[in-house]
Amino acid sequence: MEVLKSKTLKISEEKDLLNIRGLIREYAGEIGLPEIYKVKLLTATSEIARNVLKYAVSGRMTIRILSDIYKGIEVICEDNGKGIADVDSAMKKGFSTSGSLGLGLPGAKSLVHVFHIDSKLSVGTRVRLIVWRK
Amino acid sequence: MKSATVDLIKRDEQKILDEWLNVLKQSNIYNFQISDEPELYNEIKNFLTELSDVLTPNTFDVNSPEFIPLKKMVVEIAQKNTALGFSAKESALYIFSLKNILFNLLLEEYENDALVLVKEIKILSKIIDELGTIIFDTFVADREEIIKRQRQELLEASTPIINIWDGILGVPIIGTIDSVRAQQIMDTLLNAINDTGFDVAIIDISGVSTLDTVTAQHILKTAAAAKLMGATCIISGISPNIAQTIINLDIDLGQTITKGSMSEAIKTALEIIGRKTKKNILEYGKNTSAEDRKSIVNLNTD
Amino acid sequence: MEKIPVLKIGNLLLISIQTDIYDSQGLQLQDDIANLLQRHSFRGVILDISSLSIVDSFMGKIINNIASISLVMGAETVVSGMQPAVAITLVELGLEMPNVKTTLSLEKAIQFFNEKFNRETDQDGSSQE
Repeated sequence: MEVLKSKTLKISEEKDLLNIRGLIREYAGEIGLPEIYKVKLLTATSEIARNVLKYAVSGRMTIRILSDIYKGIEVICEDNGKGIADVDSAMKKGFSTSGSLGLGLPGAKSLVHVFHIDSKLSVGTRVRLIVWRK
Repeated sequence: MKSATVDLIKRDEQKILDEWLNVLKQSNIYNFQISDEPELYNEIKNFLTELSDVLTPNTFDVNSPEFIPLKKMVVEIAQKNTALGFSAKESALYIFSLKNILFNLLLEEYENDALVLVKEIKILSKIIDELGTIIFDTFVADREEIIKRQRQELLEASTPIINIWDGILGVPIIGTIDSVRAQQIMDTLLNAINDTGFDVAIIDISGVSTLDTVTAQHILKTAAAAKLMGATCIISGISPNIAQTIINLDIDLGQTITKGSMSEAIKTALEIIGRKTKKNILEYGKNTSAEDRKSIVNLNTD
Repeated sequence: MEKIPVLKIGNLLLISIQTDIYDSQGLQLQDDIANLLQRHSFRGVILDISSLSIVDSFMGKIINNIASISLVMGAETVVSGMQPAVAITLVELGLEMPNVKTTLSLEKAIQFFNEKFNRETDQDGSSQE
């Protein structure tokens, strides 16, 4: 797997979210990602970024163009927040500790081809998404 | 292989080529035309030259690198023949017909030395057989490529969107649906709804042989997405078998409209769009001026 | 931060969301609509999202909230022009919009309310006869 392009952006306030969306749109355009995959990736990224703003306050997001059998876009989101106590529960639809719809993480997972989550209490959370241009 | 044999092939090149060309011309497989002759002659000449070049006294290992150009040549010939519509057998005969000619040549030359004759025939036979199998391999590979391509084409052609009526779209689904195809059907249909602005889409699954949970999920998701866009999806062609499956698998149809036959579905679809247009015109006809009516009609035909 | 404009047309509220919006703008919109519905008797809310390319769960929640608030205050909400990719994404996300009526275009949303109001007027008329 080869990384063709990579850029890291911070997330600490709402307007960073729009910058991240902008960069994903740019990369998606470069590899000719179909509209539906682009919208799914943008939505999944929004869900993840929103979690950072809500629970960890700040973090960073690395967006990369990958080249393997297919081209794809990878989004890695890292924060130094308090971490998720129960990752398995957090991945279930309808589970929320904040009164939201509880669709964020499980929803994001069903929107992308690859979804990994690692979280350690009081260390932080790392989420990795990939959408391939199949 | 003895160098004498190689020399022999080189010496009698013209004779071999003439005979070989003759055999090919006479065989039924070549729908031979005079205009093809120079091309065919060149082809077999190149082949024979290449063959006699690799046949050195010590080489009879077909897997050695020296054989690569010759193998390539065979692959090209096989591909060309496949493109012309030859069967695998017909293409193989092209190479095997050379065997006989060369054997006759060896038979004449080593008339008095049976042991050498057998040895030389054995080596030559091995080489030509090996080249013959390449023909088969190439043929099979070509066919597989065609099958793959056709499968892709079938996939693309398999979701025609039909304008059943002004305001009603139809998608007949035939065969089995894997998730790739389901995704494609979903995309195509929803985009068609968006482009046409039609209010009703009928997904007909009479041609679907088996309905599993995944497939059903995909169809229901399409219906749900269409509803979010503001259109109504009707699923038609639910056979008794599929109805049983739906019950057995405990698939939740939600609020999706389902109909047994396409005609039932069309009836319902007409009711839906009819209700929208007719009432509208009637109601406006009652209380509004002619000019208002015109603008409403424009709205409807939009 | 810029407010999303809410247009008042007869007894309808019309909101057209043109670009990605901030969360705070969404929440503000929710409040604005609630206030307008309280002060005047609007009968319907049309949310045109035909230019919106992403609706995530937060935005979806705002739309659902607007619909629920409207319903409580006697108005119906119609979301018009949702893009196919957005619709698929919402379905995959598992987000449902039970109180929301949807139409393919803004025109059809207006047509829907026209029909509805006319039907009601007719019914009122006939009951008086």
